[in-house]
Amino acid sequence: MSLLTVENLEIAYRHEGRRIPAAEGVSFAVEPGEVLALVGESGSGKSSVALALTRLLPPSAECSGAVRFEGTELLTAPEHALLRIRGGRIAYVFQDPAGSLNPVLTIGEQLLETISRHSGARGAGAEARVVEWLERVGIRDAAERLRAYPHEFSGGMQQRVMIAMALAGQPELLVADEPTTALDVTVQVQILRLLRDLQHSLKLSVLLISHDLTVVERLAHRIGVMSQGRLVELGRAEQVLRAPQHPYTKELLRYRSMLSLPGRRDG
Amino acid sequence: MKNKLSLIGGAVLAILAVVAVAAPWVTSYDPLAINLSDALLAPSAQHWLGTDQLGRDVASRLIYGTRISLVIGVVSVGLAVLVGTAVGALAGFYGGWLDGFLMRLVDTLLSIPTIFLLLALIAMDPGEQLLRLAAVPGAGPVFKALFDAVDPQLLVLMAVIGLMSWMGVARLVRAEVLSLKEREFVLAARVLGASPLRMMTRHLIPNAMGPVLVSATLGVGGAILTESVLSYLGLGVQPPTPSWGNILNEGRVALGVAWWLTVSPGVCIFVTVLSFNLLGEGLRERFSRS
Amino acid sequence: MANEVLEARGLSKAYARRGMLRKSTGRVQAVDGVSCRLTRGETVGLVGESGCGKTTLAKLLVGLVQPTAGEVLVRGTPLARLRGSELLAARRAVQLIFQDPMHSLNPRMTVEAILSEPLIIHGLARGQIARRARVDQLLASVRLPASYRTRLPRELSGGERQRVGIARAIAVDPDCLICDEPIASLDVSVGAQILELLRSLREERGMGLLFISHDLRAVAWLCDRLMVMRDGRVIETGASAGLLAQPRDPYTALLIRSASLDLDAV
Repeated sequence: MSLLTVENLEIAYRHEGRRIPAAEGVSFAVEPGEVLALVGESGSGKSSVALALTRLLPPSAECSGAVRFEGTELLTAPEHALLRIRGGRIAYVFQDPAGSLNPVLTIGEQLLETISRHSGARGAGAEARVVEWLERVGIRDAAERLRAYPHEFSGGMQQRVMIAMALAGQPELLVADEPTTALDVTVQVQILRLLRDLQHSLKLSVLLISHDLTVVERLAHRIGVMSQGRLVELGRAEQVLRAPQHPYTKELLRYRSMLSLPGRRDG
Repeated sequence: MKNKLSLIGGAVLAILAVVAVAAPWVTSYDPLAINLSDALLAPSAQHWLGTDQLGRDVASRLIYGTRISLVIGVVSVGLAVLVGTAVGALAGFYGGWLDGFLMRLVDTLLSIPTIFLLLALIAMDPGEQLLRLAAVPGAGPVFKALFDAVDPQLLVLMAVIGLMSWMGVARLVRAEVLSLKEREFVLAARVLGASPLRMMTRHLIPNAMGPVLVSATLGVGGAILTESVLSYLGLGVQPPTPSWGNILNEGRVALGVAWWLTVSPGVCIFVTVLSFNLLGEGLRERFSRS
Repeated sequence: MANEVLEARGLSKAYARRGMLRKSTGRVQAVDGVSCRLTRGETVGLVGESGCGKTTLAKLLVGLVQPTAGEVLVRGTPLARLRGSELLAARRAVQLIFQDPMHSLNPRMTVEAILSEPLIIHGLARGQIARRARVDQLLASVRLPASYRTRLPRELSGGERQRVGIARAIAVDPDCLICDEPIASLDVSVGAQILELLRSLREERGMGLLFISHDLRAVAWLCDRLMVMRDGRVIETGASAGLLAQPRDPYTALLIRSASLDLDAV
């Protein structure tokens, strides 16, 4: 059975009396242990879809359709059930780590909070887990660094902390919305490598949202292409990238190959 | 909900403006006509708001008073915006010692209690001084024409109230200009070779006007209140010219027997100032969204 | 030498770092001893990650910021010594395109007003009719329809706004155009179109182009020569093809590997 099934998801925003559609008829599934990427440009609706899964959209958004996570219907589930799933079984990593971290709490305190809430560990056991996770995401001298505040970390380090916070709850599904877009290119490589390695070792399912086909190529098993709210193509990564069916996908690939570095095997 | 309230405020003000302009046609009585046999009549079908001690129709006096209040309010705030914007833009744009000097000036003027300054200025009888200007050779006739159109006493009031409120505008504009100065479209104008004047008038000031407009709208209400207070104290508009403040003052002595003499101007002041405040709040909402 | 438009000699910019109570706690060297030259017809790319000083360098080159050491020469004359009409003339030689199309256009001015401004400042077309004709020409050269004249920036897409920014910059017919991350805020397909536009404008007008970006792929596509910047210094420079194939500096090599998102290279 698929881990996550999305059927005919439709999202629209209400703004000053008008109805602005963001997504229409979106259907896809994420299997256990696989990385599914949603690719599209700005306005394609991919971020809206990611947020809609656990009802994270603002109140002005209307959603219809079905989102089933391991048998539970998420769009109509009661709030308390959703709270247990959100952050715990479905975790998120967003584009801007600085905005997601509380500037007045230390890294350690924030990580501790997540670990206690979702795994029930307390006291020294929980603190040990904090150090463990920080090391796992590649932060050296973790025992000292956990006393630091977010602004003392670089963008890349902050994103590592976000990943630690997302994964410390031992989720089954990680939703990553443009996780490396705001980072320098040399740091991007490190974070993507981290995500790839963690995905392998934890057998994690990942829904990866990105506008960058190269990022997607490195990590995804399957790719879905979104344009103006519709999912126009969905298939295995190699197939979508080498033999695209939809004209929009072909457009995106054309631009990517236009900018590929001479002599490299891709873009 | 806020939106509806500010629309109501705007509508009320629009009605008041129309009434003020159409005063001669809307009133049934001459506001200055004294008729002692009809003194202190209660509101009735003939006199909707009754009459005062001299038999003058209160409603007609109030309507003519609307002109005074609105004109004083708008002109004095207009003056404050003009001076304040210029000062704030210069201070924010040039920075350095000019900014320091102008802001210390603003701080100093802000620490002087307005009411005392106003009282002191008015006590010097500037109306009289101004009238002497009409005798100056050369520019004399210009001033005379101006004073024939507008009572010099009113001019003084507008100037004084305006000059007391420009400081707040200056601070607002300076703050906006400081933040706008580093925006890319302003940098682009610099790189294109725009002169400081062009940058201030075409780029900085137009984009700084949002908060100023809100402040100005609220300021008109304040100016009207100030005029009312001054007239009530006998220092503003002088009778027999009707103003809401001096009608209030004249009604003071008859408070026990003729409630309509104080309640009607009071309600007018209240409704007008409230409408300006509601309008200003609505504008603030609109500007904070965009 | 005659073709040389812009030159930087030992350019440096340091900022004082201020702690609490505004006490100076040392200096941050944003740009450190940078020298470079740009001639007409040449495309030079400046690559670096965030904080390397490339935006500060761009501002130094157009005189938005004063250097703490070194000088900028426009057509052979030091920029710092120019005043009045000479400074205005220098502004015609070097123009700048900004990164963020959202904020690089005055939100209260129509496209026509925005494009007329350089014409008015430099007296390039007198009278409204002449100016309007020029504005239409400029819109055509950035592939925008003349009907866009009456639009406000908020009625344009990101790519369209950037085109207007480019039109504004080329209105004075500059010898050299500095582009500070012009496609960073745009979608890939839109950015690619802007790159194509810049290339064809360069060919049509013979301008020199200094293209500043963190995206090595875009820079490599557009530019003949590359400069790599790190911590305020230019650490490597050379012809694009050669530099990409055989980088001398290990940081350059790292940038190249990172640009192709090679996860397995160390």
